[in-house]
Amino acid sequence: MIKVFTRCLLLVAGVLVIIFVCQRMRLLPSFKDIFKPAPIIIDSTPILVKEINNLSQLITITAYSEIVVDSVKPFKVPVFPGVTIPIHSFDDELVLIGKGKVLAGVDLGKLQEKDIYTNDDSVSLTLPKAEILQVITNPSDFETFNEKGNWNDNEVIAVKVKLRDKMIADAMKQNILPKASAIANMMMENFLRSVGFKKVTVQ
Amino acid sequence: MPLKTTILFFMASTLLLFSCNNKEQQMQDQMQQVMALQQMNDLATAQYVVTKIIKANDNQAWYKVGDRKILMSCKATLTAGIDLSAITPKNVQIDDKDINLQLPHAKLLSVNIKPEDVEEVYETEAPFRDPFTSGERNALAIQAESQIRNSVDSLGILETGEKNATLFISNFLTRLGYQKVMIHFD
Repeated sequence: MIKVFTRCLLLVAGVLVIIFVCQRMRLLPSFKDIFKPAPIIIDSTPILVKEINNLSQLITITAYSEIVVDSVKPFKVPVFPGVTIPIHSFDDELVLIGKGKVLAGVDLGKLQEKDIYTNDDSVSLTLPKAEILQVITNPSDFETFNEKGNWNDNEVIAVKVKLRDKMIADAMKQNILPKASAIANMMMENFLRSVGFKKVTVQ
Repeated sequence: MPLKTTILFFMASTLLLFSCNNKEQQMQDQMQQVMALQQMNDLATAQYVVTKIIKANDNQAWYKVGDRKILMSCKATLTAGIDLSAITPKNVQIDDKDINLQLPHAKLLSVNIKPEDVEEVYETEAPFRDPFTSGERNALAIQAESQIRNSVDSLGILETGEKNATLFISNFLTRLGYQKVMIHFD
């Protein structure tokens, strides 16, 4: 009886050693990976160029922003026709952490003949007004911190667009345009001095 | 169950449901933000608008019954240009009305995929599978963004950026009075 038990024990130990060695040599998957969710990989599809545009935008300032947005869709139970009671425990909730960039500067494409005046080694340049050139909120800038309930594509887009609008509003509160304009003036002044002008006026 | 206990149970449940929070009845957002400003010196000269189809099939996990498939379209705006701060007097040679300018090579300034430019076109899931969550859809869009970033060299946007930079700066210097403008990238 003891002999049979010892043999069984040795057999089990042997099998365990073989499994351990196979896992170490990556011949068998780890036990903890068996129920691990497999990542969804997108197919490699072609990238098509739809438009090519020429630009001449001077980007002078970038406002980096990080915003947490907590969006709620209330759950309502109809009690009588036209009367509903909200039950907050069943509300749908979406918490997004969004990072983004607001790029501001001057569109030099709007420069006109009358904006440039030269006389020997003097130059006078009137720059167009500074403007928001781009607001960048890419998919990689968003993190879904919490998602409860069903959120369709349009609802999520609406939340992200609100977040982007908030970024623009905050950048404007930080006086991004006057700062962009001041830096553009300084940059163009340096550039014009670099290309040989002694008396430079940029406004 | 006695009537008194039933009423008490009902009242307690109702109180629990209604007292969990005091949120407004309509969809509402709460926002908190952090901001930082950074000075830039970039001249954006080329912009490419590209599109890509995002195609994914979630059938890898052996213990899940049935597939989930999704098809999305994605539009991205790529911007390239040059760093103007690299232009210093030592990069400029002037000989009367002739000017020789050395510019830095063009670089990718930004990839911009607006939230509304990623659209779900088609989605299907087997009866035992959940629909794709917004987080999962975003994760797929992140992969597409990465593929678009990696394709920059093959799209030729940097070459276009340098060509347009040459054109713009040549025209600008001509308007400033120079007759012969030579630009090269290093």
